[in-house]
Amino acid sequence: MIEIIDLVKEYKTAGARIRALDGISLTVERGEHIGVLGRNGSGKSTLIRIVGGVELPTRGKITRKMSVSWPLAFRGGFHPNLSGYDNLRFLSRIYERPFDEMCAYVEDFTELGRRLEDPLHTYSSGMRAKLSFGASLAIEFDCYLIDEVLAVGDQRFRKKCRVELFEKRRDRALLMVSHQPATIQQTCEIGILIKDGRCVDTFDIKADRSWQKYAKAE
Amino acid sequence: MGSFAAALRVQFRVISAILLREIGSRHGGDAVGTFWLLLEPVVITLIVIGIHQASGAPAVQSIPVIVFLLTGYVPHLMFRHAGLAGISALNANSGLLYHRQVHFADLVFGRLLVEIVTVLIAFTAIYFGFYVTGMIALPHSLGYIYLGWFYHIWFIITMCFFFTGGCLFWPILRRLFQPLALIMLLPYAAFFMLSWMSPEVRYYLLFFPPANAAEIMRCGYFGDSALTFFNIPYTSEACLVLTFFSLLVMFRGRQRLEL
Repeated sequence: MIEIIDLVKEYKTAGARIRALDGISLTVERGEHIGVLGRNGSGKSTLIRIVGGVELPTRGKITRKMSVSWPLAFRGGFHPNLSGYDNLRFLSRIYERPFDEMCAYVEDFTELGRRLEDPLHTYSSGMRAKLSFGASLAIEFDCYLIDEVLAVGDQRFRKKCRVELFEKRRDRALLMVSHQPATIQQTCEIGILIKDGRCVDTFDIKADRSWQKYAKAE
Repeated sequence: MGSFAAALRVQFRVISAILLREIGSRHGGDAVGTFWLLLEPVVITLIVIGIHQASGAPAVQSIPVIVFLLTGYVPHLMFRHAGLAGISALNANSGLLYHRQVHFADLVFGRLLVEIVTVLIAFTAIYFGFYVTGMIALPHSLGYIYLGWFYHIWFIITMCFFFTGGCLFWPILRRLFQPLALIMLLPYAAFFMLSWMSPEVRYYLLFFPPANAAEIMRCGYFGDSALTFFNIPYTSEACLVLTFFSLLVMFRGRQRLEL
């Protein structure tokens, strides 16, 4: 379980203070799949980054009682000047996973072939997304944090994600940001709507169709 | 206690992983940089010796010049490289902070350690080079040389943490580091003995741990044959206080880190 209590995050920009999160509370139970809805700048990614422990909240508390992946997002997680293999080696060291097994899984999952020998900054966003997913699936977390990156993957990658994450690892929890209603509908049971850093509504994705009007209104 | 030991093990693993990748990118991708690190003190030494000889000063003077440089300038070099490595850790390595067990301090410490070890190796190589060519002798007491390095390194670690964390509060520090480092040549006593200074100047210089550390090393080299000034208890206290403040700045800075 992840327990998030009254999270506040403020950023300082030129002269002004921006409150990206304004008192969000949320509980993610084991095996629960939560889709985070909201417009650009509403605080979705900030929430994911703070739940992942990448940034620290200004106020509030997070308790993680299960293993939580790093936020699988467009940036972060890897070193741009290291090759795919060297990045995997780093991950295998800090997450204590056998390097060979990790490599085998990632090679198979990403189908990147020799490109894994190239530095990360030469990767397209889709290739990065594949590597992020492959590595985090090889490490095995109880909860996956996904910030939008599925959208950049090709059909084949999305199909693999569906099989490997949403089907084989159905028992894992998921906190996912996506602007694509279809993705949310396929993978999540619970939807939360975030507006101006607050959680303004919660939906039962399968039963309650009203969440789609928010998704469309974007 | 068990969880503390476990956390310590995790940190050890993280730092060693960072170390391994830093060594790879530091020396693998930048062989010229490593070579220059060795060459820079030697070039400076030769320039200063050249100036001394051109000015008509007796040739024996050139021997202490090497000692000043090895005890003051080379540690200053370490200070500069370590500081820059820490500050640039914010750019280069920030993606790795996506992994919760990688702490901000680990990244900085990992990079710092690589610079420290690199400069120590350079120091040994340069010393050996000058020794083989007969320009300097073996130190009178190795213990003081180690002690001097100990204080130099301690001070450098605190400064690196202070500047790296400080950059998150005052981004201007990033640009100020180079000029500040240049001014630091003075408290590093890179080109003079403290005994040459007037008592007032010496009094103020001895507030700085690096001036003390340089003189400790000189005491180690010259033994009783030269007058050196340092205060070991004061240097320890000063470094301890700096450690406290630098860690404070570092951890408060983490709060502000945006990734």
